[in-house]
Amino acid sequence: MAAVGVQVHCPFCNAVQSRRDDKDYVCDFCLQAFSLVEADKEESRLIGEIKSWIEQKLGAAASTMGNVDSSSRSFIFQQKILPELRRDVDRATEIMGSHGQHALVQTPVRAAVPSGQGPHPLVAYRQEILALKNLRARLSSQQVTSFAIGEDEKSQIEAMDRKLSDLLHLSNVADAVATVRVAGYTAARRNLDALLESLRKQLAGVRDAAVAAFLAGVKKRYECLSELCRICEEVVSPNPISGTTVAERLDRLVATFGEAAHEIEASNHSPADAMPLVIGVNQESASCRALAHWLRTYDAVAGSRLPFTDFVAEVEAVMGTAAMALDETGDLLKAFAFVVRVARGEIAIAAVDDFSWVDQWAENARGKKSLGLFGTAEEIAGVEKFFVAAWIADVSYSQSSGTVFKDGVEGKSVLLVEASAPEAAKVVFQEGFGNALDSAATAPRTFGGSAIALPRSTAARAQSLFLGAARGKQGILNPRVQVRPELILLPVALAHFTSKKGKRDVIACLAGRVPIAISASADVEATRQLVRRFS
Amino acid sequence: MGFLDSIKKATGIGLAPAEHYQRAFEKGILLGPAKFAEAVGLFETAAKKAADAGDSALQARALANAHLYRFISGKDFKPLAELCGLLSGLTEVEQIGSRTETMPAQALCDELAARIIETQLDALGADDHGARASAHIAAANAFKKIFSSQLVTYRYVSNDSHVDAAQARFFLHQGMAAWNQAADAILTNPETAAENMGKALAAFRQCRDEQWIGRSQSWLESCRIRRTCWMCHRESQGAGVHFKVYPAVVTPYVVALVMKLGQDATMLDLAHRQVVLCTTCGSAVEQQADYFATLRAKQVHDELTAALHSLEQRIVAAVQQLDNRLSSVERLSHHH
Repeated sequence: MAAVGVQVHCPFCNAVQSRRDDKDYVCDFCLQAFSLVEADKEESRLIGEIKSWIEQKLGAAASTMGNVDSSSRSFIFQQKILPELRRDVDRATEIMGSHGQHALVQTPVRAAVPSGQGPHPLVAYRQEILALKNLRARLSSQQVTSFAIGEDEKSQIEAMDRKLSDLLHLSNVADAVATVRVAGYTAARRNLDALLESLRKQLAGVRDAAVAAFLAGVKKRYECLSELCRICEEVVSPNPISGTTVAERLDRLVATFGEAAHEIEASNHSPADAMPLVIGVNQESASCRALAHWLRTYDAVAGSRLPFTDFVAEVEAVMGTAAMALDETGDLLKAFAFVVRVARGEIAIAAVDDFSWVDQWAENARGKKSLGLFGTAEEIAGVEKFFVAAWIADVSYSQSSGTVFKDGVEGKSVLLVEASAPEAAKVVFQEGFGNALDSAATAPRTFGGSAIALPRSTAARAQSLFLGAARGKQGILNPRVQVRPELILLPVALAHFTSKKGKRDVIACLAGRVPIAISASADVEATRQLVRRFS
Repeated sequence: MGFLDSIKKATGIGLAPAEHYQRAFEKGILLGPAKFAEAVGLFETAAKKAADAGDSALQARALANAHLYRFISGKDFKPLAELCGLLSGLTEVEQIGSRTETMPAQALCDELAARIIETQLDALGADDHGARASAHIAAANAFKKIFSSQLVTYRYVSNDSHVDAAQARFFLHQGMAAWNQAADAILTNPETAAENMGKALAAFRQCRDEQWIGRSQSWLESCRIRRTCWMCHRESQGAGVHFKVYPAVVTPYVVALVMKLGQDATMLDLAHRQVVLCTTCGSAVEQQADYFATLRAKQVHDELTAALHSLEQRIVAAVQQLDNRLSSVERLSHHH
């Protein structure tokens, strides 16, 4: 299918290429490189294949078919050609049946695949889909179409060809965006334009209202995806961008994706086709929301100091967002941006900033000889002081009171867990801190330049930890938990001890009243590096 | 509180109706779910005392709590209808497990009304797909009324994991309704079945029910597959229902032959040595094979029975002979 007249077809995906003088091509649609010679060779192969298929269908009569009248041609088409073409198209496309429920365009921001969903069939079956070009060549060949005499027969051939062509373009989109490069998103947009063109033609001839409504919804989806690709082209370019401006475009896109999903769902078209597509569109909408979160975080944290993709790569490496669900990422980024901005002194935060306990705590934690003889004496080589972010929740509960006559009484308390590496076992109840939290909450202050450990959890994660801890705590009955939306800072000390036996590090938060892992000190370094990097 | 008050509260003697009501919380509800069942009796006593004192508002509240905690502690669905009636006369009611925090009574009433509809499903047979679909639609509509609400009773009484949000139960019932409609349609119209299964899949995704997502996805994929029968050459839709694969000797020659003839090569699986038969052909073969197997089994049974019978007769004769000989020996020994 190469240089037929003025057209050059890609030997991989069969798409028609824009005219150029060069003999070496890169396909506009699937980004595969090929030469005119390769395109010619593939064309000859396809022509030969079609010829032998026709001969197989018609036997020796194939060569004399030019002289056969139109009713005989129509009979041959209905009896011999159409059933086999239809069957081959059905068989070739049945494995891709579930592709509608997957998001078609991946943004530059990675996220965990939704649970229960396997790999994207349009990517997983890429080779099988590219092989559809053989079938397409058969459908569009003069030798086959010359048997389709009536309008109905022609439209049946066109419908099958369109189904295959759409699948090839859709697969090209999914494959191209996976490159996360400008060229990939541009190629994806070109495929979406081709899909839109095909839809416009289809819509012009549709009589059925349900099909028309369904196709109108799909058209809106493709338009949204095309705009999403355009946005992705901008954000993956090495040029600085205004994150907020792009995020606002994505907000609008989220709304339009919602409309598209609603139109598809309300179309009364076959739910077996429509409903998986609604799922896919909702995922695309969620991708846009997540990307908008990233762009706003980029603006708040890095401004235009580095390309967006570099920002994403660096934050992903530190925060591990690629393994998280899309909706969870937004909350984590919010916490991340909040703490980085606190560390830069840009915003105020509630904090317990009393470090007066540190010296005494370090002295108590230092190893000493007992009776002046036994054990190892340690020296304090240094003490680092920093803050860790923490989640707070209000809990209402009941408990048993009294010794002889037991009564149930109600109480309220505050739960707290550090946000760097929270676990249910680390959740502590208010008894540990007196009124320190209340006074901190009433007077938020700025802590520019302070060492602060990076949070690695969301309020939703904290909620489930708090509830688990409250339910598991002896004496607490009927707990109800409400997490406060803002993080709070707590004081942490890391003491380095040395002795003849070597070195030892000990960590404590709020004079040991809040459990904390020693790894929190590494999270301080992470914040420091990110603040330096993005300042 | 004085010692006498403690004694009164411990025994319940000499308490005013409002104190009885308070006692149901302090001696029951606030001591945790393990004591909810005991609280039921205390609420009933409080209701009786309130009725005696003519305090109908307290009586209704106490009775509502008695029914609510009987349901929660005993998973007893019988009092739900009466509970809904009582709740409709109240503005608010205490949150489960609390005396001081309240919730709107109507919200609880709506949730329980949806639960009552859900119980209708228990009376239906697993294969009664039409009736089950209708019941699930009714349940979905009931949850649609409280779509944005958080559920309050499901954490205590539930057979599945959708215990937090009303919208999750709405989508679960929508999915189950479509699932049953698909199951109802599969024997008559696989395409309609596939369409319903598409709806079910979308609904299960909305409520994030992994188990049903997996089931409906594989069902939907099977439902849409078409194959040509090796025997009758008719094309059927619906793997596992309208056609099945059967073990067979499949050679590369036969596959090549089918392809050369332009026939549907997917009816043969060379790698797994299988062949596609429509359910009619397949079942005819199976039933005929069963018939022959039964016939042959009967033949073998009859042959063996006859052989055993003959053997039995020979053994009986031999035993008789031995018996006779033994008798002769005994007689001879007596003579001597």
